[in-house]
Amino acid sequence: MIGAQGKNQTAAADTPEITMGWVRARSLLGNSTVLSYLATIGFIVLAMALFPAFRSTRQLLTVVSLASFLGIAASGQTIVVISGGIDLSVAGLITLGDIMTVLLTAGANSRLWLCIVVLLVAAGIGAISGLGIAVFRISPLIMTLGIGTVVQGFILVVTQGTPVGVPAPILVKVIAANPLGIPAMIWFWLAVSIIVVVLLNKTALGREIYAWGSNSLASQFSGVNSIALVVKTYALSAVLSAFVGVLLAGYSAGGFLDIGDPYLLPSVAAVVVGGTSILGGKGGYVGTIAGAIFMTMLSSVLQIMHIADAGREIASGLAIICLLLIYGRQRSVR
Amino acid sequence: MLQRLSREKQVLIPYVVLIVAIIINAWMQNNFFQGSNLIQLIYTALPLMVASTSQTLVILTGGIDLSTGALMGLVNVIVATTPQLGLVSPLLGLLAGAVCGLIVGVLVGMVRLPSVVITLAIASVETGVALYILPNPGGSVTGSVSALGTPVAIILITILLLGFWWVVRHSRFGASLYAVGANEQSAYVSGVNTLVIELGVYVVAGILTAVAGIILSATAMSGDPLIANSYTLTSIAAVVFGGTALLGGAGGALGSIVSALILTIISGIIFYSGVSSFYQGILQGAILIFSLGIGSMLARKNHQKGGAGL
Repeated sequence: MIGAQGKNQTAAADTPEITMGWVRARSLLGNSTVLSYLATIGFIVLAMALFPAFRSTRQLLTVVSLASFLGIAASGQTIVVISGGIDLSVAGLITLGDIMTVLLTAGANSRLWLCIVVLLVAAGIGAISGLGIAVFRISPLIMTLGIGTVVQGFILVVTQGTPVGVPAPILVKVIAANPLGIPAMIWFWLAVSIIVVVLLNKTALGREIYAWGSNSLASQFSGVNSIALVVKTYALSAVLSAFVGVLLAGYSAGGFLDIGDPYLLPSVAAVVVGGTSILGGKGGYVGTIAGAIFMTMLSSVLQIMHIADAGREIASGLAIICLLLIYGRQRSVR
Repeated sequence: MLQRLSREKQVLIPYVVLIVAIIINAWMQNNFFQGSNLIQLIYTALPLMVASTSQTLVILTGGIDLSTGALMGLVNVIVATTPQLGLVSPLLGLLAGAVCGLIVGVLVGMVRLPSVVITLAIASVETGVALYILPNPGGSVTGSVSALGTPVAIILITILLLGFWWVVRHSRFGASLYAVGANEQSAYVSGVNTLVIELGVYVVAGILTAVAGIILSATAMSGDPLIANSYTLTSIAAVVFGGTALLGGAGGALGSIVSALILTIISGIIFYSGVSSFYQGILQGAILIFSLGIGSMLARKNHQKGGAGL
């Protein structure tokens, strides 16, 4: 072992450019975003090799367009997790977005603009979460959990527990469209991705979110307005979740009470698989995109293998653990 | 003692709320203070009391267990599909709890993965295994499990639970638990074997969660993989409501046990008030946020601590 190290050092002195390349390759492999893309691409290649069904562009586009819903839901989650929190009201807000879109537009194209009201209501709810977290110092986990429960309670009271009507027909038509041969959902996802990536990397707000996530006390001392920042973070996440609800209203052409539930845990999983640290401050949305595709691909593969719910639960749990074993380890105390 | 109480008013909140909840419930339900009704109330609350004690241990070390409900469901399914084994049936359940706890302990303590994500993933695996064993609700429990529903057993389990917490609180293990939760690095440097503590906590928590699952099976009398899903979140709610810090290192199981009782009484109140069950979610969420808001406002007067951590 020691001998090998000594040899490497001599080699380094002789050929610095090769060593630099090696160092760069190693740091690239240590980068969790790169690893999440390697894992996702590897998984897709494996699936294509094993199942002929995945060897068509159409099938792959279907997987990506299904991943769009999870990807957008996980975009808000990414922002919140980078800020050092977690958003467990994702499911409630997606359902709220779906139900409100259907109730407000009520099958009339002329009322499509009311979708903006849906997003504004969501922003208000997210702001309440943010206020609870920033002003009353309630833990994000509990605050968003409580808000999610309240939102779902309101939905039950308003709908009396039964699915509601149909949304504006034009919304259904837009979601089903296929501009340039690519499903509309993917275009929506692309737009959200660009906005979120620019927001996180190129704006002051984005930098404040990273700073807050890596050390909230330090960023408070450097003059970040803590209340405004946390409120904005959670309001943003709520709006993105509700937007998934609006899109799902068009996709499913109806308002369903549990439409958001399947997105809560996968949204956290997509963020983590995408290499964002659950402790905050590190990561980014680019990785989450791979995470969302990975999670959706996994369930598609299991579906094609005719594996029942039981196997699907086990496989997705094991897959997350395996990916974390590769790149999710925390610093040891030793 | 009095000085401590006036300094940390927030630890009194659960007890005050408990008294208020009991008064409201007694006012709505005439036979509330009858022995049989009180026993029944504790029996209903018991799975949550045990599960939130398990959750407290994990949260005290600075972790969180999002697999509580899934493990309880798995244990419920194991117990409900093996009634022919007699006493071995609940023991199998306990073994499952210990094994699952050990796996989480190894992944969190040894491999050093974040507990939030690991327990989330393990929960998925546990639910999958439970669905594999028993795809549709059914089965029945053995006599030794259903015997847990007798008044003597209920009182005995409650005393054992409180005794267990007393022992943990006053043991070396308990002290190390708080030390790891407050600052793992300092605990390690001061000679606490943090790995053993973390492995131990998750194994003990797994066994306790299995106990909660077995008691739940005695109530339900049959198996259902998804029976306990709500317990993950209610157990965390009970722990936080009971005054244990989610960041670890401060609090205790007594507050969690009392809070578990409160949450059960509140569901009873909602039931007796004849309010549509649709309102249950709004009320529960609102009570949780409201009381935590007051709690942290009181706490903040004492400690000006920055950061809104996980």
